[in-house]
Amino acid sequence: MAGMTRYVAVRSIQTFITLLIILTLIFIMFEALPAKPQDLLATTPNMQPSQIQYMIELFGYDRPVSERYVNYLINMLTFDFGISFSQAEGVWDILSERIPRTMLLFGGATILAYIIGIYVGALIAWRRGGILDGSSVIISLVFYNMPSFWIGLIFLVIFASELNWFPLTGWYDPTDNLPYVLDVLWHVSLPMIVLLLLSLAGTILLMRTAMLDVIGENYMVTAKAIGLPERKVLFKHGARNAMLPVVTSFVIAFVFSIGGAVVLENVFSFPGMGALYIDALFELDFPVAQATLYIITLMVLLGNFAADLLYGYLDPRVRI
Amino acid sequence: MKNDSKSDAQPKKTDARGELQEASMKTFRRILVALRGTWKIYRRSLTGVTGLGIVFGFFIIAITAPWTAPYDRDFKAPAVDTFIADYATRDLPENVNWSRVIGLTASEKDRPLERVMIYSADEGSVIGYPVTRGIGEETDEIGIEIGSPAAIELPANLRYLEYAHFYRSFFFVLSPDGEGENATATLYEYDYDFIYLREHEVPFVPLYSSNLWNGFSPLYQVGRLALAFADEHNVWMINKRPPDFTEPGIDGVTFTNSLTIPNATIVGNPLVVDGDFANGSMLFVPTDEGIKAYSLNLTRAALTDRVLDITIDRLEWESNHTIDGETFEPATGNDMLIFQYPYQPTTALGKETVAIATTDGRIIAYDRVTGSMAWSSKPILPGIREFEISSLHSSPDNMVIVGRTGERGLIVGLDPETGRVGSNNSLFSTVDGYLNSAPQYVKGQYRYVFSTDKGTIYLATDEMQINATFSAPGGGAVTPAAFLGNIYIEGSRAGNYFGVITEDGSLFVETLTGVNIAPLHPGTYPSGNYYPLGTDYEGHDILTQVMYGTRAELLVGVSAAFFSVVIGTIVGLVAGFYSGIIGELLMRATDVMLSLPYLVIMLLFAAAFGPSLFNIIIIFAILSWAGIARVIRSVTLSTRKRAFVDAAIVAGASDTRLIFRHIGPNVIPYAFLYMTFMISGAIVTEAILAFLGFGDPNAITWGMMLQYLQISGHSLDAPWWLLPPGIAITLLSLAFYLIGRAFDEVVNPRLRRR
Repeated sequence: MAGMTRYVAVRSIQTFITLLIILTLIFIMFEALPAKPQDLLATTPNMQPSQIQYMIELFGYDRPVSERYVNYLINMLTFDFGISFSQAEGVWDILSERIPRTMLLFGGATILAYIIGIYVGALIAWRRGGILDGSSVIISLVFYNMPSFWIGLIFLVIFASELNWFPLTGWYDPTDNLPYVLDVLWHVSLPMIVLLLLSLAGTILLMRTAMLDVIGENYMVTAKAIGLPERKVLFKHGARNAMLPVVTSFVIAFVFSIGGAVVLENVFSFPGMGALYIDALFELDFPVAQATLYIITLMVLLGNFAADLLYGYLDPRVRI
Repeated sequence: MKNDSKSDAQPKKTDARGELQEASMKTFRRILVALRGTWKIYRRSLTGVTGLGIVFGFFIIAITAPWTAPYDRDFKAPAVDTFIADYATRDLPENVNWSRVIGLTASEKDRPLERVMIYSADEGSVIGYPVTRGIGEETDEIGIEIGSPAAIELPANLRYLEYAHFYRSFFFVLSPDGEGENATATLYEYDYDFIYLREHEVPFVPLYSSNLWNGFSPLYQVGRLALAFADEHNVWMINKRPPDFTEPGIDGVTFTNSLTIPNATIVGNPLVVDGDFANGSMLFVPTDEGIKAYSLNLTRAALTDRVLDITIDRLEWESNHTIDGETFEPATGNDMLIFQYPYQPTTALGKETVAIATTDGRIIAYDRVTGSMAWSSKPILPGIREFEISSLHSSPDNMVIVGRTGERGLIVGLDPETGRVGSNNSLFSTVDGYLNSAPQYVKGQYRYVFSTDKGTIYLATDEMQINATFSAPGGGAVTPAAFLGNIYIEGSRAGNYFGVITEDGSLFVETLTGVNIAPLHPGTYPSGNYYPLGTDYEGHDILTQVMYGTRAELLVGVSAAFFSVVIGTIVGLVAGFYSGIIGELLMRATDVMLSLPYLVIMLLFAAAFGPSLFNIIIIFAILSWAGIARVIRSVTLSTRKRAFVDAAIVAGASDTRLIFRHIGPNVIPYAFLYMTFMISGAIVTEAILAFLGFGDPNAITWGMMLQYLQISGHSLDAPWWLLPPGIAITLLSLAFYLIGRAFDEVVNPRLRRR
């Protein structure tokens, strides 16, 4: 493919630079926080000054900022996150068991939303002007503007509390008589369904708009006039071109759904990264908060990068 | 016009103003024309008009909230709506004369309920009904049950009956044997399970009985009981140590001893303080010569330190109630009071006083150990001239006097160290009727509960202020012995209740405080208030909160969006205009900002800089300008290429003039367009931040309402609280979004339906 290597190289460098900039920003933000770790640790009664001093040295707060910054960068890039303030465990250990859970939750939801949404959006746009079109647009609009936690709570009330189809909280409950995988899926289902609905709303709207744009194009009219079967016209010519903005918005929605996952994890008491992040913020557990923020941002950046690559594959114009 | 910028002569002032006026009129007219054109296109979209209508409606609500909302901003539903008096009635068995009840153990949280002990006068028997924890743990009922009784026959001519409980229960029955000068009496001891333990011979027939001292030695971790009887010259005392955990099977140890006071005449009930097994055990006897205080002597085993014997030892001090030469008569029939902080070692001076009431309403307090007068006080109460003291009681903080003034009963609190009635004479209340029960102090509630002979039950605060009254169920009088006092009931409706045995033979318990049943369903309530959408956990009306919340929502939404758009537009304009290094740098920065997960970072900022509406607005503006900047930049770029800009450059327009006067107006529609989407997003974002706990606690917003719902634990069972704020958020956000979409068709003509 023409120019693909160059394109990939340029994008990789850009992503890496962006990562460094973001890491720096995170560092600055944590430096700017009014509370410092040693202040928090000092609130424990019976804390000796020598212990506080030890803590300061351990976390490196007695070194100059520049040295701390370099150490910080090296640590972050090598995934060496240190020890949590509130739980006496390595941050990576805590994080590593949570990452797959959150990934399952929003990864599953987003992928499903996109698969279904692209198909449904294209279909709706094709049958434009009907009742299906109008009503699905309205429903999607409504869901798009709902606060995610609220719809989560409503689902929790209806499906978990009243109907008992799903469990109320958690990730895995050994007292359920289900094999591990099934039990996990059962627990993850409700939050995933909610997240799916919310993502679907945006996807359908976007796909529909993109398809409407494309349908009016000349080549679509030509294809239909030639006599190509409708399905082929729709999906091979129409959807493929409409997918371009859809793929870019995949990235935006990815970012959105991380935020949505954070909130939903709170509502469903789902022990994932989002819940960890919020707890760490409340407890001012710096290492954990920093590391979680970093991982989330890294995931977003990688998602961006992947989307860019995909976009480059789909749309040759970009590679020029 | 070209010459304007170069003209230097003093322009005539009126001319300049006139020009300015004309210019602004022109702009104004131009704006009007543009608006009218916009509206013509805009109104073709049904959704757009709907959105506009909804937003308009919310604005009206926000502005008129103080007049149209059903209640005030800070309204809370009154207690009569949110608290229901929790009560239960249990039938006591019939065929029992409930004329005298001697005691339900004042059960507290760590001591389970014991028995209701009833002494039935004409039958001479004591019947004990166990009042036990009922099924209330599982169900929603109050957990109290009456079990089947156990009874014993007692000797006739009962003089005294007392029931004591500390880890084990005992009761004591005194009955005289024979009559006349040399008649004696017998004190019977029974165990909790009505098992006869032993009897003691009392060498006289008593006229007076002391308090039943029921104490606990923290040092030796055992309880102690002490009781004394007296006639005119003799005192007989029993000290009992109930069995403890190290001596199962033995019913404790009992010591008895007696004392004769030949010269003085005993005029009232003695008072015992049984200290700590170490020292300080004393017996106080009121005589016509004053108080005589005797110490008790403990003989101990050498090695094990066990108490082998207790005797009334010697007279420590006596005092004849003389103050400044004037001698006061002790009021007979009134009890003496020992004021001692419970369970404290006997060291603190001034807090260990023995108080006695005298006939002229004076209270004299003596230091318990030395007998020196600690204080003497004739409580003067504003507006009350004479009052008679009936009895003295004590609670952790106050000395409580019960008395009567005229036809009313009186309850007064004295500072035990000074004898004064509170600092501003506020520690008293009068009630209708006379108190017929000792004011019982309810631990943990800081209240006193007592009943009067008119059948009313009162709750008084620490400051003796009456703050609740209850009537005996059925309206009948609560007979003097029938008020049992504070009961702590466990189970699902656990709490402090008071227990009353009514004349028709039921045990009635009612909660002292009431159970909070908020959040309330929509509907009408006992106070007459109608809550169209119900209330939240503290009693705020939901509809009122939603209406007032509109203000904060619109404020936050519009300001956050506005600042975001301002920043984004400036960045976009500059980046588009200066397409060199500055432009590139700004675009890179924009890209970086776009790739940040903004919610997660917003949480960080909110955690760091504190929750307040202002902070949320700033945070939102700082993190969301990137999208707009991008769009504005591309618009700027394309506008810049147009002919009129080139013309302006040729004409010599400066950069700023170009940006603001020529390119600006083309960019503004897009800025407005994105502002509406931003408002939509800001409202939802604020709700999310508030829900997660980072919102402004002082502001009423819909997000805070939902957060409070979650925190108070009612998210699953209060749909009237869950739905309205969420619907409001969705509606308002959707309305702005619809406005944006419709406006989008105005700004981007190719979106219009053909």
